[in-house]
Amino acid sequence: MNADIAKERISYVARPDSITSSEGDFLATHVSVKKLKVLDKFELSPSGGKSYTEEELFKNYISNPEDKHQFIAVYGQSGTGKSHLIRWFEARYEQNKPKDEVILFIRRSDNTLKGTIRQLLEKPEVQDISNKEVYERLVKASLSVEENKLKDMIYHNFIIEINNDSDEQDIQLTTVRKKRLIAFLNNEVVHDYLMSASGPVERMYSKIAEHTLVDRDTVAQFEANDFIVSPELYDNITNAGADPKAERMARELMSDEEGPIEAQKIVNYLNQFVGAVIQRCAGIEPGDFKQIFLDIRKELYRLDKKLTLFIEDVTSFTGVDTALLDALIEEHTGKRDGENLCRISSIVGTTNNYLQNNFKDNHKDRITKYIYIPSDVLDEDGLYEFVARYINTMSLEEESISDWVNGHANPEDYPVHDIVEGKNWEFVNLGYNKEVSIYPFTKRSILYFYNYVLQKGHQTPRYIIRDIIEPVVRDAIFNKDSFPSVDIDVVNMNQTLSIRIHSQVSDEKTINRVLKFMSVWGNGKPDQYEKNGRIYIAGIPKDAFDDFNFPTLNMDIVQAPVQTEKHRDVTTQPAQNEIPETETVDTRVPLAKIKKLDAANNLLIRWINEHAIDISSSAGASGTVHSAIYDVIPDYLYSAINWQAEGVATNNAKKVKVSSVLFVALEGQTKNEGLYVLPAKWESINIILAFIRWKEYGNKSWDYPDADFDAYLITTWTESIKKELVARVKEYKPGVETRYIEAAIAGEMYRTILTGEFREKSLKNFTIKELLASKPNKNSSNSHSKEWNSLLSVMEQKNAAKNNQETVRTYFNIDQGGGSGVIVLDQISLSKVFSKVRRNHLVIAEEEKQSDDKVKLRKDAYVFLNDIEERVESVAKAELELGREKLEKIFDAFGDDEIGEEELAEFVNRAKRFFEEANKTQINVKECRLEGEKKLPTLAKAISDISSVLDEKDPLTILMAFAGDPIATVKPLLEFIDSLENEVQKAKNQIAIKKSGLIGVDGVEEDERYIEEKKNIAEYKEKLERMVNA
Amino acid sequence: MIFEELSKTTKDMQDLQRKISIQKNQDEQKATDNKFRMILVQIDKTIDAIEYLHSNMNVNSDDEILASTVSILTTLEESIENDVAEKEKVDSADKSNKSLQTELKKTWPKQFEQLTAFTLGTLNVIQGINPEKVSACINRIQAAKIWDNNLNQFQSMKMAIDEAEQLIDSLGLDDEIKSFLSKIRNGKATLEDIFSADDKILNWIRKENLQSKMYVSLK
Repeated sequence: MNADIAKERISYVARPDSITSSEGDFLATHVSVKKLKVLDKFELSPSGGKSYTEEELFKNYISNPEDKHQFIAVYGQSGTGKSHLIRWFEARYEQNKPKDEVILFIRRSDNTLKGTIRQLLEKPEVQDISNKEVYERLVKASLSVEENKLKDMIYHNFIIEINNDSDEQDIQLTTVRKKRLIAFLNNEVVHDYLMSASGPVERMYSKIAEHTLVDRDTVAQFEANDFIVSPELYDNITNAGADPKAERMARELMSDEEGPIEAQKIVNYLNQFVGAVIQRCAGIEPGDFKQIFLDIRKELYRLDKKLTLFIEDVTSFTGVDTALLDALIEEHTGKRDGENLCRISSIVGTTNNYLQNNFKDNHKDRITKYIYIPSDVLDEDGLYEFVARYINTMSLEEESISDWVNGHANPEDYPVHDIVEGKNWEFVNLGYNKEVSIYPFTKRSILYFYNYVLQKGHQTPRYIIRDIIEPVVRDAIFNKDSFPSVDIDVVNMNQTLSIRIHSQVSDEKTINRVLKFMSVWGNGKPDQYEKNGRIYIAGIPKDAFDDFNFPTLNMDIVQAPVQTEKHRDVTTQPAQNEIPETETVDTRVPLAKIKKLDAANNLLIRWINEHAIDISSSAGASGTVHSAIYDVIPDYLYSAINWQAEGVATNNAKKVKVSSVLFVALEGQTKNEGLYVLPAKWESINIILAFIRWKEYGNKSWDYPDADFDAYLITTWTESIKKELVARVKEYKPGVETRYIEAAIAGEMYRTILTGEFREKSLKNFTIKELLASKPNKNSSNSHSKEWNSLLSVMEQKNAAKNNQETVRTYFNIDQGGGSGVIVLDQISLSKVFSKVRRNHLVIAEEEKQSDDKVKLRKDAYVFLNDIEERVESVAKAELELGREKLEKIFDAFGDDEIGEEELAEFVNRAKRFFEEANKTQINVKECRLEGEKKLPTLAKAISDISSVLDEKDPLTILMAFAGDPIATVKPLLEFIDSLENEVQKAKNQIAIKKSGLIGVDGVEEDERYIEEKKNIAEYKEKLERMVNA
Repeated sequence: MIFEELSKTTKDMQDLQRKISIQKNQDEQKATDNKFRMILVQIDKTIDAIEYLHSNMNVNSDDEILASTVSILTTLEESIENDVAEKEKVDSADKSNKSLQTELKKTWPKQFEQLTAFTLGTLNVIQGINPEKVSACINRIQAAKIWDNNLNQFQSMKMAIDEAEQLIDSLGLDDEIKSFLSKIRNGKATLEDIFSADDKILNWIRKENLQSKMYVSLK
């Protein structure tokens, strides 16, 4: 490599999009493709059959030896090199084309609709076509619509299309479903969701708007994923107050089973309108595009020319693709509008999916040939050659390349750069004795990157350039001191190698570099040998180490290997064979688990370099470490530490364990805090990996190879952090001991009072027995105030009361070994805390509250108590008012405010006499009795309980007075009073009527009969009185 | 206040029952009414008599008699509380009234004796002087000897006593003779009184021819 030149050239050469590189660079980096397939009928992933070289295909088909109308589709997965191949065909054809042939090459670098039309109109051959002015005006008419407005236009145009769908499309929805879909799309939350950066509208917008950067293979269509409704999205939709129809659709789309099916149906339906919507929003009328092509063909026919069209990517025509295909497929043998069309030979690039889903069957039937580029188009040698050509090209001045191209680009003249860096590195032969150094790669590293860094489906030229060549070369030339700093996960890292490096190098950054270099560029073994006078470390020449200033390392001296590396087809080898040589692995541990551990190791190495780590994902390496930190280590520590012996209630330890606060967190961990923080150091990695092995290899046992060392590591580490961890668990905040049990007890005492389990008027008799005994109040109904019952409901929410009770009942348990059913309590501690809470009348001073405890389950005790405290005053007030109201009624009935058992008994007797007399007097009343009249003492107590607190101000005292629900007890009395009042009134009315019908003796009115006598008696008494006093 | 209402209504119903019952048996009620009125009249007379004796003759009835009388009046009052004389209560008053009258009859003779003894004694002594007039007086006084619950009886007695006083005064007896007569009435006259130094008493006896009307007895 020549780094000085490469620094300038890399940006031009290492371009994933072949079309953007210069002609010279394109040819200099071109690697002949040999595994192409030719098909007459479309197959998504053809296998088997004959393979052709690009040259064979050019000669047989592209050059069109028979001079016929043809339409050739070149397809393959994204990045397989379709564009590259089409460009090569175009370049190759340019050199050999007949004189009357016009070549149009439509790039996708300007891949908006208007950009594509502009490319067509810029061709010199079509300068005189009819309607050109119209087309140019169309293209130049800038879209002055703002981005957001344009996106909104796209969005709402779909709604308009659905609204006006008169069922003429192939795929139809029922009217009900259409209405639901419209309501769904009209929902604000859905609108925002579909308009998001990764949403479908953005994809379509990129096809319309100019000056946008877009993924080349983006297809401007809806995808099923766009319509899968997550629970969060559903909540947002419903919380925003969705139309019921929209909500219904959201619910359907959220279903695990039916959701994806329904989403696909909607997608298929909506995609029918994509063309119409895009055209309308782009300001192009349907038919415009087809007309342009027909006009071009007419013009060429007039000039006696023929057209060969290379379209790099037909997906860029989304929206007008149907019209374009119609125009291309139309043969010149027919006439159109009375004018002849020129012959057309089209070579069109497209992806598998686009060809499968967007080409209608009638188009597919009329495609002359399909050329398929497999994903694994390069073999192992091709892969090395590909990399070598890029390194060579970027190490050459542009003039050298131009000279070569101008001299017909003969392979024997292919220029090779003068090596500045990498003289002692591996070389690749490009033929004609052209040896090119592949510095800064080794063949092993190329294979490693290809197999492990590139994702499946991305093992194509585009990604080889983007994810391997460019980053590694840039790293080597711009960042040599840190090379290799690229982010690589080391697969199945050799632990011995790691320990050997750690024992010789102290700087973590350097350790990481060396480890990565030896594992990815080399064979990953802690070996060193001499061969032909050169020293090799981990299979890499020592010079290579020196080139990057790696420290001198001493590894195990071994014999030099004798075998020569066989050439392998990197893509056809079984997966196991693709892995570069690694140290022997104990066969008792499945390979998949070893890989899992390696991935975790790599992640952790990054962690010690960056001092930051995100293990929030539960998948992949993050998931493995996540599991260790969130599950394995907490489980282990919880069971390994004897919490009680350390003075921590098991209840507390358990609450901390299940909380979001981790026992142990990693330094720089993005989410969740830990009570103990593992520093980003090598020792920490060893501990974490030991835990992962304990779980993964031994299934939480020590039954796996070398487990004894892990057991030693883990147990000694546990002992070393135990003191600090225990101290943290005990604490609410640094230096402040957790006291949630006080809140829990206060809450529980409130609960027993409010539920009527404790009915005394004073806390004096509230003992530990009352606290721990479970005497649930079985009454399903009560006569408490609305506020009282609301509080009870609040306490029951999310099982809060039950959980709090559980806390109180288990906090002081002293665990008994052997699963004993006997519960032993720490009576001393319990008494101490309980007495304090009782003495303070269930009040915990504000400054003592730990309501912001990060351990949720501990905080819950305060939340529970707080929920009660916030309400007790209003509950007491309401209850008291209710009691007062009832009591006043009773007092009014008795004409007294001191009503005891005696008064009640008299009342009952009077009522009895009343009914007896009514019976005798034949007064028609309904006899009623006091329910529970034999329990007058209870009734009297209830009245007394209420009376006793009528002037009380302390809410707790009031609550206790009402705990036994005295209002329910007096309720029958109140009903009895009401009934009696009613019956007495009835009796009075009847008495009056009956009396009025009575006539006195001798016809004298009753009240006039003894007037004189009464007067006399009074007079006589007076006389006597005088005599007595005389 | 239902607590009181219950009692009141219960009582109203009892009253109503009674009234209904009364209406069913008017004769019985009439008899009760009559009895009530009769008792009231008797009590009226008794009170008049007692009051007359108290006011005009300075005779005080004992407290028990007065209390009994008040009690009877109260019972009578209660018996008509509901505007219909209650038989039970009227009967009770009747019984009490009878007891009262019996008691009056029992206690009255003593009071009569005290009231009339001197007068009657003197009249008996002087009967020979004006036998016709004195006898008439004695008879009228004696007519009140038995309690008859009749004011006239006592008024007549009072008049007779008054007349007797006048009659005695009209005899012009000197004080020594009046003193002797008084001693006779009190059972304290002795022969010593008769055989005084001037024989004034003896002479008066002979003059008025009263020898046979006096007798001697031993202490």
